[in-house]
Amino acid sequence: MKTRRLTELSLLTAAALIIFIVELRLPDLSAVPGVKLGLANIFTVYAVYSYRAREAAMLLVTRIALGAIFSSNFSALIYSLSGGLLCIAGMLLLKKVIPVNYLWLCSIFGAIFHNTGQMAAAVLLTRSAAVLVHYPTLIVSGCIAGAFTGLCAQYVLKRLIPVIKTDDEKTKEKKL
Amino acid sequence: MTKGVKICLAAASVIFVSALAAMLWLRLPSDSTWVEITQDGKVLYTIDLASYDDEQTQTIRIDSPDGGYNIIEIGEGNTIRISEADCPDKTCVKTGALSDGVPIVCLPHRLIIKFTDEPENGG
Repeated sequence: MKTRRLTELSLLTAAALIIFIVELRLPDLSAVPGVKLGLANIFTVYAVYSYRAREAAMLLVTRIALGAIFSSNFSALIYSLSGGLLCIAGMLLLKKVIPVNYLWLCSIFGAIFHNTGQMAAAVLLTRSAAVLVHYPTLIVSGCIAGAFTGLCAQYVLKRLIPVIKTDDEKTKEKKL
Repeated sequence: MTKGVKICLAAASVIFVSALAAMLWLRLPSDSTWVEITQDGKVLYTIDLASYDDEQTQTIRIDSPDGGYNIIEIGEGNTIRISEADCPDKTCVKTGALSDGVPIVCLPHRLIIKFTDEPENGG
């Protein structure tokens, strides 16, 4: 991996981590565990559309692992990891069908996958289907939050693409 | 808009609307007075809230196999809630009293309190 790429990814991970920790300090939106905006996922969706699959997955896993350490909430790690991995796998597949203009739609599916993964982990851990009553609430809030984070990423991407392109062209010119 | 996007958009709408419907349906208040307390999938208690004194508060302490604890309070007006827990998130305490189809869940201690049907043998 090129140093430049590594630096970009580290920067994105750091920014995602900061947003994640700031969001933790905000009061809970609902008594249902897991209902939140998930602002850090702006970076996940952004990475899915602008980096390779491997790189986007690395960014997410690093952010989740470091997030658990900094928030010292390790019991949540298994839920965020199972949700996150399913989310990124689903989004990387849907990326082939959904173009950048509909990134928000892909992000909604990401949220649905994330909640599904979390629920699967919760059902396995509690060995009871009772936690499934939170599933509809999580899906509804996830769709709204997913659309929001997706739109954020979409706007960022639209403004960044020209900049990155001109940067690349400049390096090409230098090489020539 | 390509065909793939249309299909995805339709699928997302269907999921959203059905989840919304399920969410509202679960919020309907329960008319049962029987409550089941389970941990790790095993039923610890099945109690009839109506059989408790309206004005007195009674507590049940449940120790988790992992060392944590939850204190369940059956209080005024035959309500049941978790009044104290040593888990980091305190989600179960924040949930408040059990009122509808949504159970009180403590994920760290794998504890669930929910309404159940009246046992046929009278408990």
